[in-house]
Amino acid sequence: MNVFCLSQFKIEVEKLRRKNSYSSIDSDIIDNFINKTIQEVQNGTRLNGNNINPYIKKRLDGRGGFRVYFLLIIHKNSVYLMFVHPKTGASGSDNINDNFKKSLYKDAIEAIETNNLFSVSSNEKGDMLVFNPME
Amino acid sequence: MECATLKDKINTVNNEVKETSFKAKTNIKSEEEINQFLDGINSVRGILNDKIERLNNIVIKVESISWADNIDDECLRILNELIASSRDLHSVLIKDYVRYLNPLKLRGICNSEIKNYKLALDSFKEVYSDIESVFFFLPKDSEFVALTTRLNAI
Repeated sequence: MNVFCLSQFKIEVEKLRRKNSYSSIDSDIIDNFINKTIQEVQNGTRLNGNNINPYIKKRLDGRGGFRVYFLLIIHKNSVYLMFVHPKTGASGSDNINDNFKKSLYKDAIEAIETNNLFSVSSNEKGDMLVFNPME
Repeated sequence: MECATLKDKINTVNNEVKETSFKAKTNIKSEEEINQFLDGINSVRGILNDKIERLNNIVIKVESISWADNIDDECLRILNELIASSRDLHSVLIKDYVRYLNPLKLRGICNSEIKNYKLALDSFKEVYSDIESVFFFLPKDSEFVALTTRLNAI
Protein backbone atom coordinates (compact mmCIF):
# COMPACT_ATOMS: atom_id res chain seq x y z
CA MET A 1 0.00 0.00 0.00
CA ASN A 2 1.27 3.51 -0.88
CA VAL A 3 1.42 5.95 2.01
CA PHE A 4 1.06 9.69 1.50
CA CYS A 5 0.38 12.56 3.85
CA LEU A 6 -0.77 16.14 3.90
CA SER A 7 1.68 18.86 4.99
CA GLN A 8 -0.43 19.35 8.13
CA PHE A 9 0.26 15.76 9.15
CA LYS A 10 4.01 16.18 8.57
CA ILE A 11 4.05 19.37 10.64
CA GLU A 12 2.24 17.68 13.54
CA VAL A 13 4.61 14.67 13.52
CA GLU A 14 7.66 16.94 13.49
CA LYS A 15 6.21 18.94 16.38
CA LEU A 16 5.33 15.86 18.44
CA ARG A 17 8.58 13.93 17.96
CA ARG A 18 10.50 16.80 19.64
CA LYS A 19 8.66 16.15 22.91
CA ASN A 20 9.80 13.27 25.12
CA SER A 21 6.29 12.19 26.04
CA TYR A 22 5.36 11.81 22.36
CA SER A 23 8.62 10.31 21.09
CA SER A 24 6.77 7.14 20.10
CA ILE A 25 4.91 8.99 17.31
CA ASP A 26 7.23 7.73 14.55
CA SER A 27 7.15 4.08 15.64
CA ASP A 28 3.38 4.20 16.29
CA ILE A 29 2.73 5.45 12.74
CA ILE A 30 5.24 2.99 11.25
CA ASP A 31 3.70 0.05 13.14
CA ASN A 32 0.19 0.94 11.98
CA PHE A 33 0.67 2.18 8.41
CA ILE A 34 4.02 1.36 6.81
CA ASN A 35 4.25 -1.93 4.88
CA LYS A 36 0.59 -2.69 5.57
CA THR A 37 -2.19 -3.71 3.24
CA ILE A 38 -5.38 -1.71 2.72
CA GLN A 39 -7.28 -4.44 4.60
CA GLU A 40 -4.95 -4.15 7.58
CA VAL A 41 -5.54 -0.41 8.01
CA GLN A 42 -9.25 -0.53 7.28
CA ASN A 43 -10.44 -0.22 10.87
CA GLY A 44 -11.31 2.46 13.42
CA THR A 45 -14.32 4.74 13.07
CA ARG A 46 -15.49 5.33 9.48
CA LEU A 47 -16.62 8.93 9.25
CA ASN A 48 -18.06 9.15 5.71
CA GLY A 49 -20.84 6.60 5.72
CA ASN A 50 -20.64 3.65 3.35
CA ASN A 51 -18.47 5.41 0.77
CA ILE A 52 -16.12 3.07 -1.07
CA ASN A 53 -13.18 5.32 -0.09
CA PRO A 54 -13.36 5.46 3.69
CA TYR A 55 -12.42 8.49 5.75
CA ILE A 56 -11.23 6.96 9.01
CA LYS A 57 -10.38 8.03 12.51
CA LYS A 58 -8.15 5.55 14.29
CA ARG A 59 -7.07 5.37 17.93
CA LEU A 60 -3.50 4.16 18.22
CA ASP A 61 -2.59 2.12 21.30
CA GLY A 62 0.39 3.45 23.15
CA ARG A 63 1.63 6.12 25.49
CA GLY A 64 0.46 9.20 23.59
CA GLY A 65 -2.94 7.74 22.76
CA PHE A 66 -2.63 9.27 19.29
CA ARG A 67 -5.66 9.81 17.08
CA VAL A 68 -4.97 9.60 13.35
CA TYR A 69 -7.33 10.79 10.61
CA PHE A 70 -6.79 9.32 7.17
CA LEU A 71 -8.39 8.60 3.84
CA LEU A 72 -8.18 5.40 1.83
CA ILE A 73 -8.48 5.48 -1.95
CA ILE A 74 -9.01 1.82 -2.63
CA HIS A 75 -8.49 1.77 -6.42
CA LYS A 76 -5.16 3.61 -5.99
CA ASN A 77 -4.14 1.23 -3.19
CA SER A 78 -3.21 4.35 -1.20
CA VAL A 79 -3.63 5.81 2.25
CA TYR A 80 -3.54 9.57 2.83
CA LEU A 81 -2.62 10.56 6.39
CA MET A 82 -4.41 13.79 7.16
CA PHE A 83 -3.90 14.72 10.79
CA VAL A 84 -2.64 13.34 14.08
CA HIS A 85 -3.07 14.55 17.62
CA PRO A 86 -2.29 13.08 21.03
CA LYS A 87 -5.10 12.43 23.46
CA THR A 88 -3.00 12.65 26.61
CA GLY A 89 -0.17 14.77 28.02
CA ALA A 90 0.65 18.45 27.69
CA SER A 91 -0.31 18.66 24.00
CA GLY A 92 -3.27 16.30 24.39
CA SER A 93 -6.58 17.54 23.10
CA ASP A 94 -10.20 16.52 23.19
CA ASN A 95 -12.07 15.00 20.33
CA ILE A 96 -12.03 17.26 17.26
CA ASN A 97 -15.40 18.71 16.26
CA ASP A 98 -17.38 18.10 13.06
CA ASN A 99 -16.25 21.35 11.45
CA PHE A 100 -12.63 20.38 11.83
CA LYS A 101 -13.37 16.86 10.52
CA LYS A 102 -14.99 18.50 7.49
CA SER A 103 -12.09 20.90 7.01
CA LEU A 104 -9.60 17.99 7.09
CA TYR A 105 -11.72 16.11 4.54
CA LYS A 106 -11.70 19.12 2.21
CA ASP A 107 -7.93 19.66 2.63
CA ALA A 108 -7.25 16.00 1.84
CA ILE A 109 -9.39 15.98 -1.31
CA GLU A 110 -7.76 19.19 -2.54
CA ALA A 111 -4.26 17.88 -1.77
CA ILE A 112 -4.95 14.65 -3.68
CA GLU A 113 -6.44 16.56 -6.63
CA THR A 114 -3.38 18.85 -6.86
CA ASN A 115 -0.83 16.22 -5.82
CA ASN A 116 0.22 18.52 -2.99
CA LEU A 117 1.37 15.58 -0.91
CA PHE A 118 4.36 13.95 0.73
CA SER A 119 5.18 10.30 0.27
CA VAL A 120 5.76 8.64 3.63
CA SER A 121 8.18 5.82 4.36
CA SER A 122 10.44 4.74 7.19
CA ASN A 123 14.21 5.17 7.36
CA GLU A 124 16.58 2.21 6.97
CA LYS A 125 16.51 1.45 10.70
CA GLY A 126 12.72 1.48 10.55
CA ASP A 127 12.38 3.80 13.53
CA MET A 128 11.72 7.17 11.91
CA LEU A 129 9.30 8.49 9.30
CA VAL A 130 10.72 10.01 6.13
CA PHE A 131 8.69 12.55 4.16
CA ASN A 132 9.38 13.32 0.51
CA PRO A 133 7.44 15.98 -1.41
CA MET A 134 5.50 14.69 -4.43
CA GLU A 135 5.47 17.89 -6.51
CA MET B 1 21.75 -0.55 96.25
CA GLU B 2 18.92 -0.45 98.74
CA CYS B 3 16.13 -2.92 98.26
CA ALA B 4 13.47 -0.25 97.71
CA THR B 5 15.55 1.50 95.08
CA LEU B 6 16.25 -1.77 93.33
CA LYS B 7 12.53 -2.62 93.36
CA ASP B 8 11.81 0.78 91.74
CA LYS B 9 14.44 0.19 89.14
CA ILE B 10 13.12 -3.30 88.35
CA ASN B 11 9.60 -1.93 88.16
CA THR B 12 10.74 0.80 85.80
CA VAL B 13 12.46 -1.72 83.54
CA ASN B 14 9.47 -4.03 83.84
CA ASN B 15 7.17 -1.19 82.81
CA GLU B 16 9.40 -0.44 79.87
CA VAL B 17 9.32 -4.11 78.83
CA LYS B 18 5.55 -4.24 79.22
CA GLU B 19 5.16 -1.04 77.21
CA THR B 20 7.42 -2.37 74.49
CA SER B 21 5.53 -5.66 74.51
CA PHE B 22 2.23 -3.82 74.26
CA LYS B 23 3.50 -1.75 71.35
CA ALA B 24 4.77 -4.87 69.61
CA LYS B 25 1.38 -6.52 70.02
CA THR B 26 -0.35 -3.37 68.83
CA ASN B 27 1.98 -3.31 65.81
CA ILE B 28 0.91 -6.85 64.95
CA LYS B 29 -2.62 -5.58 64.90
CA SER B 30 -1.52 -2.68 62.66
CA GLU B 31 0.12 -5.14 60.33
CA GLU B 32 -3.20 -6.95 60.01
CA GLU B 33 -4.84 -3.66 59.30
CA ILE B 34 -2.21 -2.85 56.68
CA ASN B 35 -2.82 -6.22 55.08
CA GLN B 36 -6.54 -5.54 55.00
CA PHE B 37 -5.82 -2.12 53.52
CA LEU B 38 -3.54 -3.65 50.86
CA ASP B 39 -6.20 -6.27 50.09
CA GLY B 40 -8.63 -3.39 49.64
CA ILE B 41 -6.27 -1.66 47.21
CA ASN B 42 -5.83 -4.89 45.22
CA SER B 43 -9.58 -5.28 45.13
CA VAL B 44 -10.01 -1.70 43.79
CA ARG B 45 -7.26 -2.41 41.25
CA GLY B 46 -9.09 -5.54 40.06
CA ILE B 47 -12.44 -3.76 39.82
CA LEU B 48 -10.86 -0.93 37.79
CA ASN B 49 -9.08 -3.33 35.42
CA ASP B 50 -12.39 -5.15 34.82
CA LYS B 51 -14.14 -1.85 34.10
CA ILE B 52 -11.33 -0.75 31.75
CA GLU B 53 -11.60 -4.00 29.81
CA ARG B 54 -15.38 -3.75 29.60
CA LEU B 55 -15.27 -0.11 28.42
CA ASN B 56 -12.56 -0.85 25.84
CA ASN B 57 -14.63 -3.75 24.47
CA ILE B 58 -17.67 -1.48 24.16
CA VAL B 59 -15.53 1.13 22.34
CA ILE B 60 -14.37 -1.46 19.76
CA LYS B 61 -17.95 -2.68 19.22
CA VAL B 62 -19.30 0.86 18.79
CA GLU B 63 -16.49 1.68 16.34
CA SER B 64 -17.40 -1.36 14.28
CA ILE B 65 -20.98 -0.06 13.88
CA SER B 66 -19.56 2.80 11.77
CA TRP B 67 -18.67 0.19 9.11
CA ALA B 68 -22.22 -1.07 8.77
CA ASP B 69 -23.96 -0.58 5.43
CA ASN B 70 -27.69 -0.37 4.81
CA ILE B 71 -28.59 1.51 7.97
CA ASP B 72 -32.38 1.95 7.90
CA ASP B 73 -34.65 4.09 10.07
CA GLU B 74 -35.15 1.32 12.61
CA CYS B 75 -31.35 0.97 12.97
CA LEU B 76 -31.07 4.73 13.41
CA ARG B 77 -33.72 4.65 16.14
CA ILE B 78 -31.83 1.94 18.01
CA LEU B 79 -28.55 3.77 17.47
CA ASN B 80 -30.10 6.88 18.94
CA GLU B 81 -31.05 4.85 22.03
CA LEU B 82 -27.53 3.45 22.23
CA ILE B 83 -26.05 6.97 22.13
CA ALA B 84 -28.50 8.18 24.82
CA SER B 85 -27.79 5.23 27.13
CA SER B 86 -24.04 5.62 26.53
CA ARG B 87 -24.25 9.28 27.46
CA ASP B 88 -26.17 8.33 30.62
CA LEU B 89 -23.63 5.63 31.55
CA HIS B 90 -20.74 8.03 31.00
CA SER B 91 -22.36 10.60 33.24
CA VAL B 92 -22.81 8.04 36.06
CA LEU B 93 -19.24 6.77 35.71
CA ILE B 94 -17.78 10.29 35.75
CA LYS B 95 -19.73 11.11 38.92
CA ASP B 96 -18.37 7.93 40.53
CA TYR B 97 -14.90 8.81 39.32
CA VAL B 98 -15.02 12.23 40.98
CA ARG B 99 -16.57 10.88 44.17
CA TYR B 100 -14.56 7.72 44.75
CA LEU B 101 -11.47 7.69 42.58
CA ASN B 102 -10.26 11.29 42.77
CA PRO B 103 -9.63 10.99 46.56
CA LEU B 104 -7.58 7.81 45.96
CA LYS B 105 -5.66 9.46 43.13
CA LEU B 106 -4.82 12.44 45.35
CA ARG B 107 -3.30 9.99 47.85
CA GLY B 108 -1.30 8.28 45.11
CA ILE B 109 -3.28 5.02 45.38
CA CYS B 110 -3.84 2.92 42.20
CA ASN B 111 -2.48 5.81 40.12
CA SER B 112 -1.81 3.82 36.97
CA GLU B 113 -5.19 2.02 37.03
CA ILE B 114 -7.08 5.24 37.70
CA LYS B 115 -5.24 6.95 34.81
CA ASN B 116 -6.07 4.08 32.45
CA TYR B 117 -9.67 4.03 33.65
CA LYS B 118 -10.01 7.76 32.88
CA LEU B 119 -8.52 7.18 29.42
CA ALA B 120 -11.05 4.39 28.82
CA LEU B 121 -13.88 6.68 29.97
CA ASP B 122 -12.65 9.41 27.60
CA SER B 123 -12.43 6.96 24.68
CA PHE B 124 -15.95 5.78 25.44
CA LYS B 125 -17.28 9.36 25.33
CA GLU B 126 -15.28 9.99 22.16
CA VAL B 127 -16.65 6.96 20.32
CA TYR B 128 -20.34 7.55 21.04
CA SER B 129 -19.90 11.22 20.06
CA ASP B 130 -18.22 10.14 16.81
CA ILE B 131 -20.99 7.67 16.04
CA GLU B 132 -23.55 10.39 16.61
CA SER B 133 -21.69 12.57 14.09
CA VAL B 134 -21.35 9.73 11.58
CA PHE B 135 -25.04 8.79 11.54
CA PHE B 136 -26.90 11.92 12.58
CA PHE B 137 -24.88 15.09 11.90
CA LEU B 138 -22.40 14.66 9.04
CA PRO B 139 -24.89 13.05 6.58
CA LYS B 140 -27.07 16.16 6.98
CA ASP B 141 -24.18 18.54 6.37
CA SER B 142 -24.47 19.55 2.71
CA GLU B 143 -20.78 20.56 2.45
CA PHE B 144 -19.68 17.21 3.86
CA VAL B 145 -21.97 15.34 1.45
CA ALA B 146 -20.63 17.40 -1.48
CA LEU B 147 -17.06 16.55 -0.46
CA THR B 148 -17.94 12.86 -0.46
CA THR B 149 -19.30 13.19 -3.99
CA ARG B 150 -16.10 15.00 -5.01
CA LEU B 151 -14.02 12.23 -3.43
CA ASN B 152 -15.74 9.65 -5.64
CA ALA B 153 -14.48 11.47 -8.73
CA ILE B 154 -10.82 11.05 -7.76
